[in-house]
Amino acid sequence: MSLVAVAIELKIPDNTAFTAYDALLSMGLDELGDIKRSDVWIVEADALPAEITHAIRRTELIFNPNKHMLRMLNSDRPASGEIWVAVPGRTYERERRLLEQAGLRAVRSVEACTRWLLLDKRGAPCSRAVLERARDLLANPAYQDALIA
Amino acid sequence: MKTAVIVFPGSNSEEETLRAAQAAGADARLVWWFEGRAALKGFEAFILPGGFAHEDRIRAGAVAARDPIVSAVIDAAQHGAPVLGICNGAQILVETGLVPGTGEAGRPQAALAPNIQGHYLDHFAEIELAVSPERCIFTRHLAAGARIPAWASHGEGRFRFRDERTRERVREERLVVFTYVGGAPNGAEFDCAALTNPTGNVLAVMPHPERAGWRYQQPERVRFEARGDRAAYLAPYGGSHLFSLFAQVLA
Amino acid sequence: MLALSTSELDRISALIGREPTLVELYAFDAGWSEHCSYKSSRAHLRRLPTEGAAVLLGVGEDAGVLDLGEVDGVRYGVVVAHESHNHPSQVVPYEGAATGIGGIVRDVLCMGGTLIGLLDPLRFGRGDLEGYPHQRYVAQSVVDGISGYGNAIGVPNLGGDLYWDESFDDNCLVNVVALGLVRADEIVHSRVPAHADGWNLVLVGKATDASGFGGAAFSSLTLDEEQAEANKGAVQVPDPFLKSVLMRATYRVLRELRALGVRDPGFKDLGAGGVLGCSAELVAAGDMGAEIDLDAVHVSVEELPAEVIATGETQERMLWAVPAGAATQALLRVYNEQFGLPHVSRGARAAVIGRVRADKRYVMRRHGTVVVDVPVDVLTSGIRYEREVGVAPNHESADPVLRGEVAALLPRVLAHRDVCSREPLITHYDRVVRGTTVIPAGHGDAGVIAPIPGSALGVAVSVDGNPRYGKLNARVAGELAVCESVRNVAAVGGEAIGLTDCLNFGDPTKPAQMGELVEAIEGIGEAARALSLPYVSGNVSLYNESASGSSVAPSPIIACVGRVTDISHSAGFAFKRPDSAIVLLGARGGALGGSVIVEICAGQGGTLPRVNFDALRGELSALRAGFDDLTVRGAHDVSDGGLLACVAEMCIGPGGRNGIGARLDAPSGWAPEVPELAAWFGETGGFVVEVAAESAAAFVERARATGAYAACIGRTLPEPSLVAGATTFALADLASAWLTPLEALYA
Repeated sequence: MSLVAVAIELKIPDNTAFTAYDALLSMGLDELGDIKRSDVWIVEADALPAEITHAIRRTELIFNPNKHMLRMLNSDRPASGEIWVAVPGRTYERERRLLEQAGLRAVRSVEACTRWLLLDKRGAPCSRAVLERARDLLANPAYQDALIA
Repeated sequence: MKTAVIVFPGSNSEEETLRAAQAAGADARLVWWFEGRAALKGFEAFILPGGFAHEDRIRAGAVAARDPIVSAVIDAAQHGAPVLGICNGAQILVETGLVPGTGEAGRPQAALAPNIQGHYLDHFAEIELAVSPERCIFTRHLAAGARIPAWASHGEGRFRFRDERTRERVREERLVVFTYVGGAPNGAEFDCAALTNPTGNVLAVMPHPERAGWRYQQPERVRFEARGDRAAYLAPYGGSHLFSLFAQVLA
Repeated sequence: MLALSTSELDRISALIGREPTLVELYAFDAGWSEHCSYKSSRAHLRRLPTEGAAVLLGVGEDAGVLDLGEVDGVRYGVVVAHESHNHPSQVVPYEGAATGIGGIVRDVLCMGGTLIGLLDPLRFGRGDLEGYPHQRYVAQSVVDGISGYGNAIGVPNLGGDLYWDESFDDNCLVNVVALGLVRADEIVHSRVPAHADGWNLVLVGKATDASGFGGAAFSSLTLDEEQAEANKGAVQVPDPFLKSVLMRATYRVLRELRALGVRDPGFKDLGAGGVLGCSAELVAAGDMGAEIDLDAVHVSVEELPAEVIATGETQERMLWAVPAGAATQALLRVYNEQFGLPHVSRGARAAVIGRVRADKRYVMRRHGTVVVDVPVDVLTSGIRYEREVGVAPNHESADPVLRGEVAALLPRVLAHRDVCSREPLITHYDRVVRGTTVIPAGHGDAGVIAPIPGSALGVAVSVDGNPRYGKLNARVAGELAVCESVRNVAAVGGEAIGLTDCLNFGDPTKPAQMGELVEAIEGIGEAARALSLPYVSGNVSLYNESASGSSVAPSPIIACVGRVTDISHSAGFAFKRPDSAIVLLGARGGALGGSVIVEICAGQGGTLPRVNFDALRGELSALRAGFDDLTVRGAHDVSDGGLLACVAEMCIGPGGRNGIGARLDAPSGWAPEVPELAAWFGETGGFVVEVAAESAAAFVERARATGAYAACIGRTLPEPSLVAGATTFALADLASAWLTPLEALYA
């Protein structure tokens, strides 16, 4: 049984990240230098990590090589400067089925969240205090969980 | 009542919302976001129309709720001004915390989460007054249990409340003003179609009354009753009732 | 990544008398692409009828304009454009489908039109998508892309159609039709006027970037899965948010220009060929030249190569030609300051990038160096190929004898992927934004809107084309596509006033596939002439084939725009009342080719129905008279699935709860010449019409007097059952067969 966490990033311009950046600046987060957004997929299956990654790469609903880049993550938890936003209770049955069609057997779990990486003007991860101030814009507590490192 | 229909970048229902308010008798005009919050001076009531303010980036209503022009609306609402948010306008009101208005000011106590189907849904919807007409200023002229035709068109329209305490307040204070007849297709809690605040001067309604506000927009069976009657087809009907308040003259 | 052939390169050098610069090379690459130049099809397209009383503006500009009529002394036109975005949608379905809408919206905007409607004819790979994850992904993501873009900009979806066929497995078809409303005296042209010497050229919209570079040439290439990754440079990034603001800002700019007395600005969408292609066409159309400074083009990345700035196809851009001074100032103020484009999308703005010159030369500079200097006509005249036109294959064969029980067959026909309810898909689209919708998509054979507030004048629109017919005989399929679109408009009470075509075909260098294209043009031309309807806009999409070289089903797709004199007379297809007479217009025939029933019963075979245009004209006039005097309560055209499926749908209604039944007499009474199953399920065109019982005899008599076939074949019932001759169905069973098949994919 292996667990793989990948970040899927747009290689075309990410308008949502631009908007989040502008909105946070207008909310007074002057420390902010840049924001990066990606979708994190965490897949656990009875297969080698490389097999899981291969299946993800072949599931276009998750990863379309024409517009996405795939980055392996070392952890299934947010790193410094990151806010991970998930919807509790949401299931990913369609993705699970497609991963199985892409050759992965015995998929035990599929989870996903949006990863926001906030960087300061020097390109370093923002402090926890900055992340806390950004939290309400990036996640509505009435239906989303915001995970901060 | 001097009424502002506020246009955000990305709003898309401003024209017909303005027409619906005017058809009901309101002295209304569009106020564009770039006119700034100063332009709202002198207005007595506010409508936030449907659309995709800031393309719903991050989350529907999230960015617009932090717009300076909305802070002026929040101030007015807290002083009792009537504020009607339709669809995206409702999403913005929920994100500001004005509705249900049961918690810390400026923090959302509810969400308009993605529909349970996970995608946009466009359908005719009848909504029913679920509280005493007196509960909300927009419904005072309606009969108890009145049904209003509307058209639901949204991807994020599922009312959800933050916690049990909020739910309790919403129940106790009877803040769910309208429910969907036959249940909420999008999975909203309490089958909620429209939510007010404790003082009853703010209404966030998800389905569009202005898309069922004239006879020609009604379902076929209702249209057919007036078939061939051109004037009747072009006359206000149904959803138009939610705009009646704006026609009143404030004392 | 140039797509020009060696012989084309030689022709360029011969044409300009020297070796082309790199920028010129890319300009020709785009300008001579099939996508821009119609190099294979133009000679044949000339044969289409393009003139008529209802034409306010014919083909040749960004979009055509049809005469809708007069309201309070003001004449209104319907702007109509029809495009394809097939290849991009196959590679990046969400973005491809979304940018397809983005592009066509600009076409309508540039005619001075307010956007009032969109339609999306879609063709996807095989219907049983289990085990075909890519085809499923395309079918779902295209709809998401259309929904994501169209809903956001606030233009109602008025219809479209949907077919599934394995010939689309590697090459889906995503066409889009857009409608606009414009006052006849306020039409803006895609050309500069004769007195434009010295006018400014103002580029408005998104900052130019490297996205969409090589797009025009890309859309004319055959898709190969191995190449998909390499085509990524051509992925265009949709920005509906910017478009939504651009639309509203443009409406205001148009008003301000009129207030300043500028009646004839030039305004054109940047599509294929980017800044260079658009500016060259805009000035050449007015017999002028241009001088462009690439340094003035706003870019999102510094130091983009000149050829990318010149010909890249970044989305959401348009080009104005306006007088210097107050007009230019107004334009810059509205876009940049009032609507604040730079704040809406990073780097977006309006910028003066050059000027019009009278000498018909086209000069472009980068960092002070001349990178293009040619007579403008060289850039815009394109090239033409005399493709070898082979014999189009005719796959018709003898009509099979059908076997089976009506009781078992009707539910299967209703559940067929090309017949079943589109509601699970359509609900992804906003059908009622703008508040003008009268008959939403899926509730009538055509969508109907009342686009002028306070007026009962309506527009009806439908888009059609059956690939199962195209596979058998491209010419007849073209005729039938025209007839079906016209019928659909008539079925809601509209009067057809004009057509557009989008011709989706295979590889024109293969004589047989070129032959299919030419035959289809003949077919759509003949039908339009027979019905006295003009084409005001069109598009050709070629090289639609799989990597293995087989063409998609030849797909002439036709949109028909109709005028509804009084929306209070229009009606959707659902039965309105029990005890109405059910009248069939249009004789049944034995032709079964391409029908759903053949696929279910016999697998293949059959001939396509031939159209009797005299009879069709009679049907159309009888139906119109019935809508005028309100004796007709509703109508539905007989198409996919045939007469019995048509009546079942009228009983079930769009949402499935109409609950009005019907009793139909056995076909031996009204179609004695035709085998029973062919009468119930054959797809020979016609109408089923609901007529008030007391008016039925007069309606039938009047229809027959026009030369049309008309017969009263049954009655509507108060109870929820459908009686077809000796067979009785419970409507609930039929409804569940019809409503559910697409749910697995879209609900």
